[in-house]
Amino acid sequence: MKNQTKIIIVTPWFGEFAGGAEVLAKSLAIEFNHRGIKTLVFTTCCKSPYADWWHNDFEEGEYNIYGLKTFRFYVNDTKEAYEDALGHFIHHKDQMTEERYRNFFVAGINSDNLVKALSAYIDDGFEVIAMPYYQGLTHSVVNAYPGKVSITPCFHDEEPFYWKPVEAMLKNAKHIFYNAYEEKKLTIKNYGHAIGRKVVEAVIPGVGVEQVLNKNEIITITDTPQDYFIYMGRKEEGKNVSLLVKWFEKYKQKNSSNAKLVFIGGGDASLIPETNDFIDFSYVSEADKQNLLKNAIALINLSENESFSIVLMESWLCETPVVVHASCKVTKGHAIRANAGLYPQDEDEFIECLNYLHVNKNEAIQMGINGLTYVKDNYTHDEVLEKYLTVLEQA
Amino acid sequence: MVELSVTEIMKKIKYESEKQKDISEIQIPPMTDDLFAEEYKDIIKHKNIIFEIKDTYEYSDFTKYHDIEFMTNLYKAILKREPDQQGMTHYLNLLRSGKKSKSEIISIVRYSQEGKRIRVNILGINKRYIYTALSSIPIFGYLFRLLVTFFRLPILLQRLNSYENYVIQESKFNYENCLLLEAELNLKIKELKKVKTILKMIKDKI
Repeated sequence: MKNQTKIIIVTPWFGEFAGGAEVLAKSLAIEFNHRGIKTLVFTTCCKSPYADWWHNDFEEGEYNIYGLKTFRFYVNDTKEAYEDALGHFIHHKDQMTEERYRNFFVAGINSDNLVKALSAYIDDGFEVIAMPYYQGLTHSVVNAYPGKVSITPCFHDEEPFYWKPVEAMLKNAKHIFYNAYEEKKLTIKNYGHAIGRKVVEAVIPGVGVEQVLNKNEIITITDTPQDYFIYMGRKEEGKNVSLLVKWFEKYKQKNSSNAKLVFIGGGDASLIPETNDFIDFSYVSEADKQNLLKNAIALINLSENESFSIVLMESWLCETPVVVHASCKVTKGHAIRANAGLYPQDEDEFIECLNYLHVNKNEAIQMGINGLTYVKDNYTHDEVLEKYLTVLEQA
Repeated sequence: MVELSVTEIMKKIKYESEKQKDISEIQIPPMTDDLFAEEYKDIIKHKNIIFEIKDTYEYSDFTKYHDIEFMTNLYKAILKREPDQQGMTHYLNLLRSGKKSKSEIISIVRYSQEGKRIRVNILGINKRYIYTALSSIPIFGYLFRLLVTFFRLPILLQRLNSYENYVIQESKFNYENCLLLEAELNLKIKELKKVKTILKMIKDKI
């Protein structure tokens, strides 16, 4: 890897929140830096997507986060325009205008100060990678410097993906990096004609996922049930947690299985019923997380809105098979390519899948092994970074 | 090491999950009545423009059609009958080889013995008939055509452009039709597969 490459990662939130795009931004920045590539992070003074996007939680300036030189910039005060766009998007779609489509993105989390500050760094030869497409900051950065900023869009098949500002952003982007094969397919289908080769020839690095464990860290959760499935991640409606609870309750009603459903991660705990069939460990240490994953029958993730799904990879790293929703093309695609997971379409199939994994232990173990091979072959940091750098280092 | 395929496992799971249901609960998928769904019909429709039989024609009434369709309409309008195999082959050969243009063939058919007897009115036919007649005089006809073609070059160029766009539009139309057909066939195959699975389940239950 050439060390003269200098990279800036642009992401709306950094250091205080761990959503999909933020984890990707963090892992890219840290791993580039570890490999001797000068890497800076440009982010806003807003601490997380759950905070007020137009309020500064930090002072503007230079910070050291995860050992990375990080610059925070004040956010724009555009709440009114954003709320107008969002309100119309939710309640009066027929009144969405070009300006509202634009404001849905650019009046959201954004920072003119950050956009301006990039100019000198771009002139100095820095390669800029912005993410994700859903946030206005990415649009502003890409459109302010046409042909000079690359994007990792993290596209989903959702309404805003089809809006005009996305096409404009893709036109102005220097390079595009996809997270999954299905994301690329979706983008080609919708923007292949308009944008051309840039969209079609873009690489799919995905996200680097490796097990990190401090040897001194000890397992504290010992009262785990004998048989259990596991959900890992934020407990929220958007991740289909309510559907998971409903389907799991049906599974329990129709079977004499003693298996339980264990939850790890933050979010809305009220979504989990207070019965013996569900256990919510909330936030756990890395050692506990890996131990819980390793001993689970399978990880269940019924979210239909994933652009990569790091939790699937983490589960496979622990040799645990997965159960995903058949409607989520990305996770289903991973499960099929890895030959390491099942993908029910409805409640009945879900029950059959859980039964299958519970009863057929050898097959479940083999799926776990297949999953581990898949992650190690495709999503180590070296594999992922190599794909990014090959593109960025092109003349 | 266990040999497994998650796609095969999922097929079995889908089958088992359907099997668990009572026969009364099994929903036969709705079969689409038409091969082409409503929204596709508009696209298909423009292919089937019906040729109108009337008293007086303009040249464009014929020239907007091509090949077999053009000849069939010409016969129906001028000779008031379906084309015979021999005549159709003869005129198609002239058309396809480029030896005669559509205008010339209209004149030839109109001023054939059969055409003269029926006397269908075509606007501008005399002028074009004179052109066709002069064009067929040896040597003079060649020079005459050369001269006329030279003066008509801008019009010919315009037609060439128009034809180019027509061809592009037609290929696009055909491509879209192929896609629609493929989608419809896939839908039918899916429906049939589901029905096959349901029949198998019912058979197992019985």
